[in-house]
Amino acid sequence: MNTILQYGIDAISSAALYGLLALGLAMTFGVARIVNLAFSELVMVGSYLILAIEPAAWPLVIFVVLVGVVLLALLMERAVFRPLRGADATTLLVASFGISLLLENVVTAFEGTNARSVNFGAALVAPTHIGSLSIAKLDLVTIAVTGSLLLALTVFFRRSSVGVQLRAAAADFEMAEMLGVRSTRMIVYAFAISGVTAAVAALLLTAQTGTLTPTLGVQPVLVAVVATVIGGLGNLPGAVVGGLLMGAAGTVLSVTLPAGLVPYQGGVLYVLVIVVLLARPHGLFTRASSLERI
Amino acid sequence: MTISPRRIIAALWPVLSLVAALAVIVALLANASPAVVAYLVQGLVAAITVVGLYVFVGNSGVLSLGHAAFMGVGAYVGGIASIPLVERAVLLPSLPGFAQHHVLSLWPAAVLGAAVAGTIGYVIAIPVGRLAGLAAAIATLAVLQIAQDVMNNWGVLSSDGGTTAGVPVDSTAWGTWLALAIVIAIAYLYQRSRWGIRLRASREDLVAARSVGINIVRERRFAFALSAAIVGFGGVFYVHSVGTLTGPDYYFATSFSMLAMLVVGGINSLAGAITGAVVLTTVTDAIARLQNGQGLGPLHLTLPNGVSAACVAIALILILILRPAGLTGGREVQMPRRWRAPGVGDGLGSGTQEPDGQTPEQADVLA
Repeated sequence: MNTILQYGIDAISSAALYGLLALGLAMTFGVARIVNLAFSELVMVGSYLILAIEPAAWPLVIFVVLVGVVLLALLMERAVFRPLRGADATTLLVASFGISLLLENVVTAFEGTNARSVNFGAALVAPTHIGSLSIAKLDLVTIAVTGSLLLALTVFFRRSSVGVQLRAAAADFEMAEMLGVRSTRMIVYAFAISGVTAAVAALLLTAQTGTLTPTLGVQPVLVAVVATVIGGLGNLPGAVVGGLLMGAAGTVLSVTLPAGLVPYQGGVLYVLVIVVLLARPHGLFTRASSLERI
Repeated sequence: MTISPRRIIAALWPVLSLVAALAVIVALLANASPAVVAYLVQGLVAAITVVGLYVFVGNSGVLSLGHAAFMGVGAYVGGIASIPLVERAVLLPSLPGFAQHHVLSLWPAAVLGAAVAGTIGYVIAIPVGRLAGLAAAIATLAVLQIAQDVMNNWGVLSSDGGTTAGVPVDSTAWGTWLALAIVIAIAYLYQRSRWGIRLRASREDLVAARSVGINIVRERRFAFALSAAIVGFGGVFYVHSVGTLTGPDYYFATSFSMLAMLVVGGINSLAGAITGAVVLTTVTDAIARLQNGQGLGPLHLTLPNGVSAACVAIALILILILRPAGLTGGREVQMPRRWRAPGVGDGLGSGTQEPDGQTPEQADVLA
């Protein structure tokens, strides 16, 4: 029982992070139809910002990372995606890959490809004991932070005028535009929110691993891209649930796979992904009525 | 209606012009320093794989992020088949029996690699070929991830998780050019064949294509297999130019640089595939030379690590912003009109035009 609880908390903590990343990706996809691979570099740059101001107090670190990453997200929108408005989805994807390549190599030029270690949130790694469970405080912090951020965003999407406009733009961009939603401004907001999620993810990831490489964001964000598609693209809650599912499935597989198959854990997970896509090509949480009809 | 030689040349012009242009590049560089020739071979290999990717993505309009996996399949099959037996027994002791007794030279190995990659591509296309749009992109990405896991972890393919050396380095510039020429011809014949035209029709309008009886899933499946075979073919030439098998060579970055070359050139035409490969390879090489301090003409700079790749990324982004439809805009190279026989422009020549409503004048701009 205790082992199950223990693994359960691991699963929720990694799932929460994927949920957060998936939401950040789904923001820009929902509103602007951009699968932003450079999202992984927002996370990476956020982590390197922690290194850059290393001995600073943690509130300052959080502030700098948030501001820096959001500004970078806005910059990439203004410099690359806005001139490419209306371009083919594949072109946008390749452009985001270009940005990703650019940021990765700029960081490489300054910091090199060797792993750097950073001492952020070390106090949180020590386990705390609840009954016979031993839980890293960081897991609890991850769950609490992502949980409250998701909650805050939910309230924002439901209650605020901008949030409602964003949801309208994600549901049907052209219709929203005709009803007076300012399209460019919505895309800017979408990038800003996606920057916030990337910054929080950067803080949590760095606290978890403590090591930085210029490619640190790639793997988690790839998982999050998959999660967004599984959840139903453009469907914000679906993306979060997709992220939770991917994180949980990863933990469950690492526990239940026989020893011989452990190196293929990722492979097994992706076989499941293909099966899900075949059964529900438009995502798990897309209603048939919302699909395009001819 | 008689078929005059001029008519045939006009019909094959898009292939002949590309192959001839590439021959000029190879002739100019074939006698340069070994480093330049090695880079030339890598560029030609990249062009083979981009043409392979184009056969599926360009003709079907469905995205694939997984084609580096097929390059890897070709490389592993065609690479291992060429490792001399003595070394093979030491390096890869757990290979199955049939793989322990024959050594193939480059071309037979390339055909074998292409056949295996094509077969695996066909099997994968049975489920994945049913998907389109982002679902297809993610499913092919999943295929890439699975292939990467197998390449990195399967003990049969590498002695202790990682690289396997010992593949003879024998891809020559002219040999790889010939391989590329063959691949261009196959891709062009496919795109002009009834199967290719059916698939391109489904790219333009899915519903209309289905309503005239085109079995879209079957056409996509065939194109995917052919495309995987061509990419695998390129993979064999790749591994025969670097000499070492290593899983990460056939992963995300490779898949994406193939796609980037295709999009930069123009995703809907064979000319675009070649243009993109040539332009991006040249830009990458030119900037890498600056970084290494070798100089480029009068320029001599020494740049820190990573700067060259960053410059390539900037070039990529700029090209996309300035030419979102690609450098060729999705058009093939047509025979200049003044060389065509009277009336030929309305025959086979115009039959090779893209179905996107371009006028012959636009085609002439490129020719």
